[in-house]
Amino acid sequence: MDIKLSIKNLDAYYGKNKVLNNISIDIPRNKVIAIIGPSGCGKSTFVRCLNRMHEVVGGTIKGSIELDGKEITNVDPVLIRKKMGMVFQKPNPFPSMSVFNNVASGLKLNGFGRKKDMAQVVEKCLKQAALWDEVKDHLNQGGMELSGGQQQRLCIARALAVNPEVLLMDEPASALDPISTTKIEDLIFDLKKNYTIIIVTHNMQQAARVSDYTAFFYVGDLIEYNETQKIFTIPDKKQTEDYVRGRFG
Amino acid sequence: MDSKFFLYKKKFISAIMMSLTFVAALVAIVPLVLIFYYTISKGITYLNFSFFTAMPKPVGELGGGMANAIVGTLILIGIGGSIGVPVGIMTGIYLSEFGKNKFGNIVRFLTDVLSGIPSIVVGVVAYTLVVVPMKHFSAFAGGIALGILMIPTIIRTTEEMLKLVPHTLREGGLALGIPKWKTTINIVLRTAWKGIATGVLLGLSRAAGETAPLLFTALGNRFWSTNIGQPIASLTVYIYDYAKSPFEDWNQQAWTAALVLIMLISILSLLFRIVTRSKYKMN
Amino acid sequence: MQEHYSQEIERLKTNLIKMASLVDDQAERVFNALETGDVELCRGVKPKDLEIDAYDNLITTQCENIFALFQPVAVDLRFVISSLMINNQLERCGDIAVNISQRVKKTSGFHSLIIESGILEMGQKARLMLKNSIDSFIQNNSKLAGEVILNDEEVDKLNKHCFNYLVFNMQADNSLIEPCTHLIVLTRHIERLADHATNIAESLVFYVEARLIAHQNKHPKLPEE
Repeated sequence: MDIKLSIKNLDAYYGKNKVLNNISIDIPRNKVIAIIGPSGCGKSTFVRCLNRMHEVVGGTIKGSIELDGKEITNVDPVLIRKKMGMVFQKPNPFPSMSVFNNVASGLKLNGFGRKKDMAQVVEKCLKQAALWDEVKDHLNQGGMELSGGQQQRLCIARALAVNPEVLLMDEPASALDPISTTKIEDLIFDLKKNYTIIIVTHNMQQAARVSDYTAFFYVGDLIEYNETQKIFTIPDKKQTEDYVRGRFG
Repeated sequence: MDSKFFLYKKKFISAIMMSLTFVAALVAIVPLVLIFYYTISKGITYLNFSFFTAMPKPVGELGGGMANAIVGTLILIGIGGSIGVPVGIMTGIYLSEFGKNKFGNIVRFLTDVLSGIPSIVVGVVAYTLVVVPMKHFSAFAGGIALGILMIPTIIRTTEEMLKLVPHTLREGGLALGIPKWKTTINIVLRTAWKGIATGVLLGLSRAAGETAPLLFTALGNRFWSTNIGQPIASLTVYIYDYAKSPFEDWNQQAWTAALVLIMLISILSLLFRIVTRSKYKMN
Repeated sequence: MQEHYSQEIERLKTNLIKMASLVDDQAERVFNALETGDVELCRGVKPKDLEIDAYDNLITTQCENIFALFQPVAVDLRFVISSLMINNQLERCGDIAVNISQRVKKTSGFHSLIIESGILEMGQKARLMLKNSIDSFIQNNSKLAGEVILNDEEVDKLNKHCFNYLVFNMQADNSLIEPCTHLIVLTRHIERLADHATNIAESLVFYVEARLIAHQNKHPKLPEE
């Protein structure tokens, strides 16, 4: 199995509060990994440790995170975040920018690309995010004028524009209606050809539909990590089985 | 029978309360209406082109204008703004983005205190700090006094407007690998700038209407001057001088100056509205 | 999650069809052997059945995965349920084909008996029922399935007729006891084959029309109904 991200003995703290306990997990390349677990189990925190966003709210970590074999916990977070794109629960397009500028913002504000190249990249990313057809004639429309599902796909396009290798998605569809959710799920299935995707979800059925591997977190511990097909048919741990059956959490 | 009585009683009390609030609103606008009425009706007589271009005539001679005072007010707002606006906005940015610590709290507290200090006190302080070392009154000193007065308002509004920007936008910017300072300027500030501009307008308007601090700093000038090292005329000081003078003619001119001052602030407000109008609709 | 799910459903359907055509081939072979008396045709039927059993496990696992991962509802749910049922029936048909081949080998010399007793006719009817039931689910044709269900009665009638004929012959001639016993067992296999074909057709009707038509009017109504 080709490993993209290797996490070893990861502890995470907010102040003195320990929220993740000794997490070790190997993320394979170009697969979709779902992180499931009840509220407060640390799944969002885990994903935010990967692109160092936990530092923005005062979190600290111990342990090792390796991307393609290279340690990233001591590297400038700005560099890491260019390699790991993130999509949030509530769509957050920049209100002061048009659709085009939203997608291009990651490039523009990092000083890359000339105007000509920018248009190509924007089109490519909007196509990858399955949004191009809906906005191609309205690229100068404000980012906030789209519907919720479209805004989220816009945010996905924006994340793809900086050409990340890994896509981190923190409950990307939980604020959306069922049809938009299906579109996002289909999108993820497509995107995994080119990206390694880690998706946090509190919706188990979504995890079952979308992912190749599933990790079950509970109160800061990693209880079980296996192929999704196994987790939902014959999980190793009773706790996992109880959770996926809906018996708690 | 009983319940019907209670129902009517409730409706009656409700109607009385609503009427009282309505009456209070009417009472509140009475002074505003009177101000506009008097300023316009008394000031309009002398409002002509020459008011804006001519210099004040000596006592006894009729006519003349307040060109120097109008320009003076603008220069004073300009100097005050060039100090107050950058300091105010950048302090507001510091407090909102980086200031969740003891130092930030101290700054916030002092800002609140500063916003309550009477403007005459600020004038006296500016006199001590600027006029005395320079050994004469000047537009520069006046500008500093006005700048100091603007700062608290601009800091508070900037911080509040920046706080209104949802945290998810900052996260979105940072997650793209954009450094914090760039995120703050290009995403957060760009989103909040209209609110901040309103704060700046409030600050400038307040400064334009001050009289007391100018008495100790810019003093006043019956002649044309654009030299910031020298005393300078201003509309507010002229209104003070002309209104308390015994000359009927000068009293009239004071009304007109008041009208011009109000017009100036209204134009400023209108300009801001035009500049900050919405380019994109919100969903 | 349309595309991934559609792919899985297609794979399931493809495997079912492959299994069904294997079973159909087996049936073709053994009934040809019954008709012509050519025992060579029965060679290789037993090893082929192992492949059918392998498909049984594969399809069961596929259905389990689809239930676990996609939680299908409505027509999708009925499709997976009926696939499980049809899979089960096909596997049994495969076993029956093996059983029939064994009986055919033992009675190849008694061709006239086979024809006169009506076993051949019964066998041909059952063979056709199986073929039609498989076709009905490949084509989603509930009309064809309905015909198969009606034919089951005829096969049952023929079964009774064969039984009586063979018993009569056994009573008349002692030497015919052994072959006739084999032939009675053979008729039992054929009758079971027709039953399974009927079940396949009923499963198809359940999938397409959402109606459970098995055992209608034959049992007392349960309290929950």
